[in-house]
Amino acid sequence: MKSLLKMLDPAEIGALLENIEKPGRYIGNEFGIKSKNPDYLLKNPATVNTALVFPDVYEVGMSNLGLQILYKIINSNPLFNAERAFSPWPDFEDRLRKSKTKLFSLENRIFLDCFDLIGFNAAHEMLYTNILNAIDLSGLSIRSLERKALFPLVCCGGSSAVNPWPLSAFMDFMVIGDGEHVISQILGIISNYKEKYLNNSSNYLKSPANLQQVKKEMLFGLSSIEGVFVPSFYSLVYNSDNTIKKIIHTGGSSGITGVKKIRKAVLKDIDSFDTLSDPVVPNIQTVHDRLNIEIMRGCGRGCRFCQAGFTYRPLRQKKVKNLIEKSIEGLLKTGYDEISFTSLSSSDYKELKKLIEKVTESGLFEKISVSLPSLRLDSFSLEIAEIIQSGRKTGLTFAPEAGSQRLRDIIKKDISADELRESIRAAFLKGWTKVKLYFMLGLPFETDDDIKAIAETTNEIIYIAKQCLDKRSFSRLQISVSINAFCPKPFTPFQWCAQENIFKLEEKIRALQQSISSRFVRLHWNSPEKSSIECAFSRGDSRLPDVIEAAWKKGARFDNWTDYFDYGLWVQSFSIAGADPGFYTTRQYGLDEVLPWDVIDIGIKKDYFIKEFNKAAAGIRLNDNKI
Amino acid sequence: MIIRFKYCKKNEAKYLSHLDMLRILSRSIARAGIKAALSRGFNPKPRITLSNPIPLGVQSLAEYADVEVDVCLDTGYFMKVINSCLPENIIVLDAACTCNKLKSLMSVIDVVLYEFIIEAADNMSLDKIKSFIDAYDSSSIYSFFTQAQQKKIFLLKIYGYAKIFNNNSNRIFKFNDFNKALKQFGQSNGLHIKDSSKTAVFIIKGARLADPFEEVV
Repeated sequence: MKSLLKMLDPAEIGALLENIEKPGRYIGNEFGIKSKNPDYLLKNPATVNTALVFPDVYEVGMSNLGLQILYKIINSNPLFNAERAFSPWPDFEDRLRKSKTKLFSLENRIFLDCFDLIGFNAAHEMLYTNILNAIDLSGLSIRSLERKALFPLVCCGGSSAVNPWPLSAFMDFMVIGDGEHVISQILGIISNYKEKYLNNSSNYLKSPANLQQVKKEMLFGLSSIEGVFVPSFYSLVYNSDNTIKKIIHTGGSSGITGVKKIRKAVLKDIDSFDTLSDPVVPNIQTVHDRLNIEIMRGCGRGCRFCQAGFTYRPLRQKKVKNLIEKSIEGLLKTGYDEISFTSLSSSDYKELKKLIEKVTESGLFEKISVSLPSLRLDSFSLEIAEIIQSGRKTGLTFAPEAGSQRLRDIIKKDISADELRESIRAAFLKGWTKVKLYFMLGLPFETDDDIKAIAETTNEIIYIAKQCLDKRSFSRLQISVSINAFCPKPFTPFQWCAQENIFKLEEKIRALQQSISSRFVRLHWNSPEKSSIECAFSRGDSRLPDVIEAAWKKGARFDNWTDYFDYGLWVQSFSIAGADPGFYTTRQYGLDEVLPWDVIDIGIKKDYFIKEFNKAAAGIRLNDNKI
Repeated sequence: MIIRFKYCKKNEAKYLSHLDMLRILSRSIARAGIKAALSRGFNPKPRITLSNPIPLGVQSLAEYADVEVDVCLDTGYFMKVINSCLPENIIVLDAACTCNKLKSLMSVIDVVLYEFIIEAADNMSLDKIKSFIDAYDSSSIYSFFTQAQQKKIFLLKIYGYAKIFNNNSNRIFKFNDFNKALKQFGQSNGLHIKDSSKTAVFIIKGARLADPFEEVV
């Protein structure tokens, strides 16, 4: 059996990278690479090769922990090889296209179409056009049904895959939930097929009918793995008003009646996989250039707007003893001087203080900085912040999300006005002068008074600062208010809610701008237009692939980058595909409507979301986080 | 205590910038378990200084760095551990340790040696290239080497100044400018630059070019 791997000729790299911005993005060569070497791949041609692609630029993709976790798991197996690839920045994409060079992996520079599996991280909706672009740059058809060869299979997983429809036409299969166990099962099946058909039966596959039969059989095998959704086996049937009539099962074995829901894969014992302590350490500076240690998966809070809070359930805390050990080991192995303890709500980790102290005071490091991505606004968090900022007082970030107590109760954001006041007061007394606040606009049941309350809260903070800070510190006061448009997401109690229209949102932002006019306050907001496109993808159905394809053809790339996002282009793309964006954004979905994501069983019953929605409507805040 | 070490940036590592190298060396030293002295301030960083920056995309066989440490290390041991902790294509070639204070590498390095491997058309005479270089900078010191078997391929070694001397009206040698001019000249004269790299740096001592390690011993 001959190896079919094609690699970029090393002599071509110089010309490819000439005058390219940040060429370090494309060269690999980092410390901690785990892929098999070319000799190994040559001697073991049955090795299953997986390209793990984060569809954004290197600096963003390398900050993603999920990619590093899967990379480690796959490469620990002698039968499997994983290599990384990222989206080329537009200057390099142009170079690749002009020189007719296919996208290649960083490690062995294998062209992506020579891999057996290409796995994308669909971490959020604004990456979708980059996914299409990467498939195309690999020399493959973007639509799965047009890819006739057995390999490579193209799949994706990640947070936004919970509604699989917008990417359904492009993926051979999709993975919902935790990937740790699933990835090895998937590669096991692929390995069987690779060996069987590339070894001796290649003649059998020369007949297109046989090939399609074998591919279908392989996908059927994959669909038996927990969390694996094969889009070509399902389709949506629509009513005349464009809502969904039913979800039907169209493929796989003929005997199946009714729709088998795809149950999310759950890693039950979070300590069963070692916390990653030897990630690939980037050579160039990345967005989160530090050791990332995941301390918990899931969140016990149940904020009603937060998708991750529901889709990553159940809450699983890692054992502190393991975390201390792996954190220290990771710092020693990587040489990082910064560590981040990540989770959806890190101050809820019950032994956080112990963990931080044991790592920073281990005596092994002279200077380690600690960062926590998500702190709640309470006295405990303040204490933690004081430990980790050790005298620096760089700034505190709080997320009240809504201005008024009434609206915070509705969204179940568990912070009272008193707590907020007291925490801010304590922060000022301890010497902080920089505060960042996150709010959402356009939340369900929001009134003008709730928006006014954002301004009032901000003004009250200035008033507290005046009381607590001396004249010099007060002059240094900086309050940054960050505004995001609310986006209803699948698998939340607000999944049915209408998103506020763009004009209304812009009006509200303007009103807020006028009512917050203090020189201490800087107001930032994310474009409501981008939020509206994000919403359409989040709640989209099987008509969305046409929209994404149209947008990609018109040149949409890097939609998460403000410089590249082009709302006009998206509006045109919806119209080309014959879809109305308002149907997915500003429309209230009916409680009895079949939802596109009903095909996924996320582990929480729809009734629970309805109950929570009704409680929100009644303004009831309950500490009931049981599923 | 200062460890001065010489390292190379080969192949793809040439695409890593000066700032990238600072970060990479800091982390590699930490991985090697070597405790570098830290700078003062709220954000203490290991005290590492590098020799003059080299343009992105140019190979170097002669990069130098100084790292301040609390205890003197055996340089053989240092090289062994650091080389097991560096990314591919960055290799420490030599090291020396001193208790003396050292002037920063950037302030002492006077001359940089670049080498070009050039392929020439049959009718190309060396004189023509020589007059091109003389015209580019009359103070250039350079030499050519040819191999007996491969007459068409030759090696150009050019010594460029890394700084302006008070008593001299010399020019600083800018690799990118020279490379661009040579490329342009080559296009119309049948020359092709096959490879280029920085191969040595020197300190002028009297009438002689000295290696930066001389400061240490």
